[in-house]
Amino acid sequence: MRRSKSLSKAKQFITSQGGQIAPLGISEEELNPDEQDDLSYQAYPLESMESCYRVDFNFPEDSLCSEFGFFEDGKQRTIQIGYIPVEYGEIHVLIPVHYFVISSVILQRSNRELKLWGSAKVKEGVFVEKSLIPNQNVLDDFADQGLEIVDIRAQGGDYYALRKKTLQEAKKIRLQLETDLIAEWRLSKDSKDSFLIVDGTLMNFRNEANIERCVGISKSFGSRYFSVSDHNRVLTMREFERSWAFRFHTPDDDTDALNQGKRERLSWYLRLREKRNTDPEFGLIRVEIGLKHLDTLQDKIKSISRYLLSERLPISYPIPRWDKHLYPIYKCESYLSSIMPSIGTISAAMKG
Amino acid sequence: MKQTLLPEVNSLTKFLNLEYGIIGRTASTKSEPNRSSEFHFWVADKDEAIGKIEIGNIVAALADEQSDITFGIVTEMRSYSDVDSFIADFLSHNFGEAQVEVPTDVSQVIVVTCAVMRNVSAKTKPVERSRVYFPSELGIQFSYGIVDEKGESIFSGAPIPIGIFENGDSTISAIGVDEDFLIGPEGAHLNVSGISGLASKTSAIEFAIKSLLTHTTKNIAVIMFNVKSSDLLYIDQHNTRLHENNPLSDWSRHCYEALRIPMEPFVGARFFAPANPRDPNGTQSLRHLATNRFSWDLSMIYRDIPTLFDPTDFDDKMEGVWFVIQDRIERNELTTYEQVLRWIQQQIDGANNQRPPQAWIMGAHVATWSKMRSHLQRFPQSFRGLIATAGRGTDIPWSELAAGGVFVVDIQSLSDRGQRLVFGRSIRAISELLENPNCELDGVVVFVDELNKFAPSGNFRTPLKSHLIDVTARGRSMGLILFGAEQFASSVDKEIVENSSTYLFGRTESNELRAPNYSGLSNEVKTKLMMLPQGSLLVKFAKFQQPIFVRFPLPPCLPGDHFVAPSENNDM
Repeated sequence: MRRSKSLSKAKQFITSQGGQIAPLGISEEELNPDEQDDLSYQAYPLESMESCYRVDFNFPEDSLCSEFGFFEDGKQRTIQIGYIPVEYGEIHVLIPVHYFVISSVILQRSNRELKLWGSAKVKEGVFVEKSLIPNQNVLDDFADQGLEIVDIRAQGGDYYALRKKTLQEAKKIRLQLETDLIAEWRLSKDSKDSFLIVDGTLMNFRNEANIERCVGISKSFGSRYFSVSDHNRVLTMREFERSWAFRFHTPDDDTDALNQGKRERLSWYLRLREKRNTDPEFGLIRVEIGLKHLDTLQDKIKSISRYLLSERLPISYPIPRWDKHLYPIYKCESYLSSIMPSIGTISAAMKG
Repeated sequence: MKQTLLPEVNSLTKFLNLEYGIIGRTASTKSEPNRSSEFHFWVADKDEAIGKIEIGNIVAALADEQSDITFGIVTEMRSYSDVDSFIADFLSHNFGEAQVEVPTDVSQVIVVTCAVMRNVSAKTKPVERSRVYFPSELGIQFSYGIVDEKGESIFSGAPIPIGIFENGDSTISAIGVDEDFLIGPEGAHLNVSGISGLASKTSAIEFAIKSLLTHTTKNIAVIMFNVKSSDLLYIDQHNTRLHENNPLSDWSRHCYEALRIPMEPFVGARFFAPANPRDPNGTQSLRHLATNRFSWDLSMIYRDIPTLFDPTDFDDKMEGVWFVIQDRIERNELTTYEQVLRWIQQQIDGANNQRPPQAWIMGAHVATWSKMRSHLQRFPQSFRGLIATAGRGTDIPWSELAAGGVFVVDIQSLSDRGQRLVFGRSIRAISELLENPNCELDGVVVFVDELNKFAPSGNFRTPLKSHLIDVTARGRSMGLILFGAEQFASSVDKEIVENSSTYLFGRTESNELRAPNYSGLSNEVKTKLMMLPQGSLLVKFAKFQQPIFVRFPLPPCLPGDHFVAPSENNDM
């Protein structure tokens, strides 16, 4: 279905239920950025934490040494476009309806130029708690017309809980799209001698085989995994230094159904750049690879760190966190933004 | 990725170079929306497309619904990257280390702005989302309004080729102008400007005239004035460069063949030059081959005599005296120039000899008569060889000018005033010829270089300038067509330039490009004009929606400075 048609159908879906069209000017992701992140991970070191390590990287001689050729990112945009008021006896319920567009892409670099690898995956539709919809036939009617209606499977009619669940569902779909795309790449001949740089943590991906050739890059760290003193050693690393490697895993007692089992990765921090008068996290990233590489960890740390240091240029200035945002990942985001309707367009489509 | 294939059967595909493929896509942004007069497209990321598109190319935007094609001419090209600022790029090179190479090239895009020329639907509207192609030859000619959708000429007159347009994809197309707008009656006159020394202006005019004489359906004769060196003195000789083996000569031969113009000089052209006062049979021409002499006796020239004066000298008093003299001439009381001088002297002597001496002669002061006498005495020396003071003069045989005929009048030896006299008198003679009901000519093309000498810009008027303005304003109705050339269009009277339906611009200096004559051209087109190679011109034509860059071949005739006189030849 053409995007403009989806928006139009989404609007009709709300009005057909006696709902109100009331688009927000901001997405749920922007409103509640922390709702999606799981900060309960744990770590234990694989190297001495006495000091940090200088990466064997000479600048500018090694500025072209990166052998990374593939970069992946996903993007979700979930925006409340209205709500449906329903009376169940004496209970008054407001069912939020969200339009979503979710996509993922891999860019391939060849001769220093980035190109689309395969094709991007895009999914769009509306999120709603289906069980609360009074006229269930309408759901089928709109589905027949091509509108993807995703059930958020929430419990109860708490307006805020429904919105939170919507955001989690959006993340789940995004991860699935990314997983599918990474799987396609893994099964292609392109993955044979290459690593795929993935924006964000690999902990979200359950399929171990899928992430064998992936390197996850985290740019934000909401938690501390070592003692204050040790962690501060990470925060005071110099340019081209890395931290000790560590195993990074979900809590041993994790029973959260959302996480669907324990996952473990290898990780280390790396300082891409430093500059006076900047915060301790300036230019600091956390690198993740699959546990499968434990036996060759030192080799992987050496090569991947070198490559990432060479990827620090060109910079993605002036976007936020440009100091740690790899340029090819930034281009993934740019591509996805270009194929997804903006919040302005979504709002305008609802009001029009 | 899903792609819609263009069906070959679509009636619009004939306008496109499908073989070359899509070269970009139109885009309309918040800050730079497409308009009915202009559209933008980004160039596809294929090296051959980026390298081939340039200012002046023509492109065809096929609407995604395949319902319409809009043709545009490239007027501006910009290169964008996602580098937000210079400081960002500076930072990207590790805070200013220029030698640093980066593993990923920053994204860059070439954005092309096009002026809308024409669309197939003939509707005035902004371009929709479209795929951009190079047009086919038919597309190029259609975009300029030369042909209709079927490829048939939509000119009211015969198409007169003036050059070859070469598009970015190497598609070539003959570019012609409408005869009815070049030599009348709908419009007329041609003007060419450009810096000297590239031999472009003269060559272009010679080619255009050859093309005109080949393709015109009318009875046209040509008069060329050779105002400097030996530029036009060998137009009856073969251009030896056309027979050389080099890319330019090869291309020129191909061009003549494609445009169906014989690669022949102006065979049968006749050459005229002022008589040589020191040689009863000779001329003042630089031409080494046969040349006819001319000089004018009183009956031929008396109407032009006021033009010989400096405008500041020929005031009301002088004009009064001249009316008296002219009256005597027209009553055949004075038949030679010497008689005029003697008669004036007699009037002055008669007044002086009276007692008391008379201060006034036939209403004019004797001093004015003396002034008139001294000027008239000076003219035969100033206009050396032109004025036959005694006996009969020999005029240029205007009446022998026939269809297809070419006269070359060599006035390079004369002073500026002398050149103006010959040119002015010739214009008048041609006007009279064309007004004669027995004249079989539909028109006469007059080519003069350094038009600024004869009709300079500015508010002051001379009789010749007034006459030329009149010719360009109304001459087309009688068939008098002016082909003018000059280094700077701004140095020629505005009305004359603006009355020309066809302009050809050669390489032009930046100062000149600031003149109002060029205000309609974009800065990028002006930049291209500053760098225009020899053999290329920008053509503005009354029926073209946009100017077009064309190439023209080597001239069909021998450039004057290439002539080797037989004696010189023997020495070699």
